[in-house]
Amino acid sequence: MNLVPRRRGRPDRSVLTGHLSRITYTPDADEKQLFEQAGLGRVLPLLVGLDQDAAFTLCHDAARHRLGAEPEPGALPF
Amino acid sequence: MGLDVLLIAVLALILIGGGTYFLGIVPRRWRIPLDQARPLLHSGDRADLEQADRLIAQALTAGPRGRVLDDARFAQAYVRARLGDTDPDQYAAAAAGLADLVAASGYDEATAFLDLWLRSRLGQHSRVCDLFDQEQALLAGSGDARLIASISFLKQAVASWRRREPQGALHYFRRVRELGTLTDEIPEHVDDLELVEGIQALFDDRPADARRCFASARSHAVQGNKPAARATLGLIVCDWREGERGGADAGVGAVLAELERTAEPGPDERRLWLNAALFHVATLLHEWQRPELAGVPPGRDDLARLDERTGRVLSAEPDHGEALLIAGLCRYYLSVRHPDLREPGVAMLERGLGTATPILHPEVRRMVRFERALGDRATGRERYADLVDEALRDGTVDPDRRRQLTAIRDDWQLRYAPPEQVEVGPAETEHPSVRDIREGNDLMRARLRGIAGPLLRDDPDRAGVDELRAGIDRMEDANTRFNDGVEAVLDARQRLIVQTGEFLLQEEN
Repeated sequence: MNLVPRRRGRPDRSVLTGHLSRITYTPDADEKQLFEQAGLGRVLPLLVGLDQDAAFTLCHDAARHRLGAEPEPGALPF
Repeated sequence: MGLDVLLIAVLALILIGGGTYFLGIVPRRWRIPLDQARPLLHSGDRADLEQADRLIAQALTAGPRGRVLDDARFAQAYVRARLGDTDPDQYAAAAAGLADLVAASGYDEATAFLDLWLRSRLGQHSRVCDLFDQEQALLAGSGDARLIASISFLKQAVASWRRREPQGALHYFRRVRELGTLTDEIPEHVDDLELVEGIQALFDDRPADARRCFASARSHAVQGNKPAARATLGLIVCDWREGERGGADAGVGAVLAELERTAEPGPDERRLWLNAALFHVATLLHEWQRPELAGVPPGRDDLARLDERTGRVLSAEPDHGEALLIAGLCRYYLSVRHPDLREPGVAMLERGLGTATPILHPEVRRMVRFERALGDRATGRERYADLVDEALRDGTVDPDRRRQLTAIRDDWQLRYAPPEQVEVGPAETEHPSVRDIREGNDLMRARLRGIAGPLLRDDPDRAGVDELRAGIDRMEDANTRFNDGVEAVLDARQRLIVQTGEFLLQEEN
């Protein structure tokens, strides 16, 4: 609604602003990634250092500790 | 008297003339172009808008005042705003013109909206936020204005976040929530400032700050009777990172139990649960390494618990690379004690190598390749049948050896293979070269590994293995002697060539 009283021949400003192109939200390309750091659910493995290398080492060390020897399931006697 | 009348008549003429000039002729200088511009303002055509811009500029040069001036300035700012969609320089020109209008006459709904729109197009998000707050009364009723403000609040939130100012980011996200527009764009997990700051402190390697944030978040959650799982997990993570891991297994178990009580978990809750479940696998393997368990192989109970934990992750995400890695690798390693775990372990690792989020560890690829190349016991028997078959095809084998090989072949046909699989082809009578014999040992050893390996990896102490190893040693010794013999023959020949030359030269001298 235009607060300025309309006179004959004067443009209705609110009609004109209605012609303006619509502004939409375009997230930054990295935005999703940026906020992933905020969620404990997402970053938990990173924070406790649980990547594939660490998982491999953890399995190996646990097996070695419990077997009392290097776990070598592929080792052959000759 | 006559002079007076004349004077009055002249004055009247001047007044009428001046009035006609100032009220009729001069206004025509701006009224005509403005009247011509007016219909063009609604056009979607760029040429029309450019023409309107020229006409309005012409009118403004003529010096209109009051409302006409205001309307002309507004129309100019508006038309330039629209031209800005194809020529962004026009946005700044429009904003400058509008600023003159506002300075003279203040905002109304339309000028406030146009200014908001222009500032947004110019990327002046801070200005948009200030303007929206300052002109709430004029703007808050417009859905489009709220949308533009929400966009700028979001942009400001992202900018604050980039500057590592979570407090600022959360402030702007709250503003978006208040406006109720674009709320889906607010990241799910930025509600609790203390948690966000705690996580950021961990990333910034400020463990004391992180612990303080999580402890405070936890006590606030408990006091407010709200879920405390995240804050509790944050504290466990702090301990874990500082090497205090004794309470992790029980702690993560309790957090998972709390998360599982969440009635309708959103994507973020599900992600948290999944990664906490994966963490619980790691804490179990950490428990396995308690000093008193050294040299105590995991029993079936241990394996069942590991299965349960990895299975929980895999039931939610069957292709989870890390879970397949841990589940498969533990089975594979422990197959040294429990041979029945080998095949399922290798199968899990093999599956993990081919999933969408695959196992990338090169050692795993090597293990799977080795196991698949070695094959099973039936493959070992097939390889043995091939070995006998090849030996029989060698026409240089003497009759006694051939008889022995034929007996073995017949026995194998009866035991394992249909006759066509061990069929002997025509004998090859070409003698093996010295090189064939020299290099044959490595090949023979590799073939024996392929034949006996599938049995021995599950039963490395199987009866007869020592004899096999001794047999290989005998073959190696014989080969060394053969090589020495060949070298001696070659040396003797060489010496003979030299000697013969000397013998001949002696005659000529």
